[in-house]
Amino acid sequence: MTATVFLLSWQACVLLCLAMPRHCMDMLPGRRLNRLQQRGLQLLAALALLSAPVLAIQADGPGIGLACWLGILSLVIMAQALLLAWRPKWSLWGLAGSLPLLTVVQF
Amino acid sequence: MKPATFRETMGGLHTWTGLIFAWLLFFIFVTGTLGYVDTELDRWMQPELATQPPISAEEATALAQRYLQQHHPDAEEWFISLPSTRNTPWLQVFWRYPKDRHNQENSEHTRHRGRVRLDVTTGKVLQGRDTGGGQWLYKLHYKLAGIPRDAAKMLLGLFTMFMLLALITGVIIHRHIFHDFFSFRPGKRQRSWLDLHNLTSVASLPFQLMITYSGLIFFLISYMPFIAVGSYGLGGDRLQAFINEIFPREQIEQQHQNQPVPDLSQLVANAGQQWQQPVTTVEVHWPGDSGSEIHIGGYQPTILRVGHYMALDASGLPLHKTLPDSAPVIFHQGILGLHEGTFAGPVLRGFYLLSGLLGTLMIASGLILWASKRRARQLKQPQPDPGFMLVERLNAGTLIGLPAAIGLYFAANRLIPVALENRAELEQSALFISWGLILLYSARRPIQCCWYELSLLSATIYALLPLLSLITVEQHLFWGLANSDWALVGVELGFIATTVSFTIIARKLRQHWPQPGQRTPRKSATSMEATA
Repeated sequence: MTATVFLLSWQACVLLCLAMPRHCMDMLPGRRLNRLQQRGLQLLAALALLSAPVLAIQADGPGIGLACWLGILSLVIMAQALLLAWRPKWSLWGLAGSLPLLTVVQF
Repeated sequence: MKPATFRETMGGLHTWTGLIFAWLLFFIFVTGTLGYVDTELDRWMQPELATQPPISAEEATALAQRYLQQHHPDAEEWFISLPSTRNTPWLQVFWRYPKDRHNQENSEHTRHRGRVRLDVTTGKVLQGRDTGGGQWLYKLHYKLAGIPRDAAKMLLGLFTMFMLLALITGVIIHRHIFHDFFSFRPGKRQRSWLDLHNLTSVASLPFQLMITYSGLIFFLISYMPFIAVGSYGLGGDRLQAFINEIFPREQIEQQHQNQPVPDLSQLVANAGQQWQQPVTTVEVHWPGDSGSEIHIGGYQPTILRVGHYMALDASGLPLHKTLPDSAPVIFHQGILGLHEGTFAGPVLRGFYLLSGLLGTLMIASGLILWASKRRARQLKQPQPDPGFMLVERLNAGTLIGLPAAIGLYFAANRLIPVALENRAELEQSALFISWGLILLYSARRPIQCCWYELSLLSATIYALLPLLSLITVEQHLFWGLANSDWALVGVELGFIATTVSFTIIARKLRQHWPQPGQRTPRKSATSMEATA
């Protein structure tokens, strides 16, 4: 379950970054998303971001589950920021690659 | 002069309280973070201890009871800590004698209280080298060695309070908390340090708020002795009455009638069956007396500091007692439990470690940012301000010097002969003496060299640690891998990771901050700007 929570949180980060013009330029050079696209990405990100703690609480109870989720958030925020700084495209490939994983990962 | 805005005022408060308190807070964060791997460090620092095969709680209890019965039948209290979770890898027994009539004749009992570790395969005492271990490092973060207990407590309270203030003002003055949420722009000097400071703080803000706030709660009543005055009245005894009511501690009276201790292993087996969780502790008050009480504790997968609990009388029949569970007590236990993270399994423990490291980085980057903001202007002056130079030197001597000194504490563990007396104290002085020397060194050396050379020193020390293990003890990295001693392996890998980090730092420093060589400091200042 931790892996699923991790993937969801990280994907939410990537989606949020895509919705931010500056980071979008880093990941997709020369591409500008319109307002509607940005809102859609933010909505998806919010969904992922909200389902992560729900899953974590289901797995470990409110105390440990939330503690774990916050730890995962720290990790994915740091990871995403460092990826954007040095390897911006990797987060896009990662997003594409990890989406199908969501259906399998359960531990 | 225009009156300052709210944000500017908060900015000043953040900058200056941050600066004044940051060095000791850095020390607290480094040692406290290491506390999340205290058991693993303990293991590394006593490598000769035989790894223990898994043992059932019943068998371990039987071994412990046999030992205590044989050596300490007249103790007032026995305490058995069973090898059950990551926090308690060893079977340990503790005993305590009544203060007034402690046994003078038997030389073994001259110590009022004691503890030993037992080998679960033989039931004999398990003796490792004399060391403070990871526990000592972890305790440093609230005991602040060398300072009287009460003074340390008050100092800690003051620093923790300003840490909380720095966190809150930090959130207020952060201009674009959402816009810059994922921003890190490397290679831009001051900008990069600000980004790193913001990023580490924002990414781990819930943890930092929790750890600081809960740090204050630990000594809540010492810091706010007047909270009870309203309902209980003024005075030390009134305060005690308040404490007794929240945390009732009952006296268990001796009846002076012999009654043999029941078979504890059977009671432990029953408790384990009832809870379906590992039993962690067994406590016997007045063993061998008819007034005896047996308290059994079990692991519970929650954040609370307390787990399952069961009280039994002298013959092993249940007493209907529960631990205090009023709302304030549960809140207190929950907050302290979150701070200590003893409930955390390997994954969550990793997150605790990460969050602690981010906090450490947050403080370090804040300090560097302060200096970096002022460096260009200061170096244009013929003589930099003494205050600025003090910050620069303390930064180098603490941010790089402290990790180096801690590395030397570990090195001392491998280098000081095992048979030497007071070797635990020698190890501890290794840390403080070397840190003192490093601070002296950074006070004298040109600052450009200082950072680079100290980083190189740290990298070297941590690189030597696995080698020292290889030479001085049998239980080195490869032994750990072959024998699946993951605590030992983890610590050794941690040292290697630290080496790599400091090597990268040293390399970056070399690239971005050329050594002065024959050039004057002024020239190197201009070349510094050119490289930026």
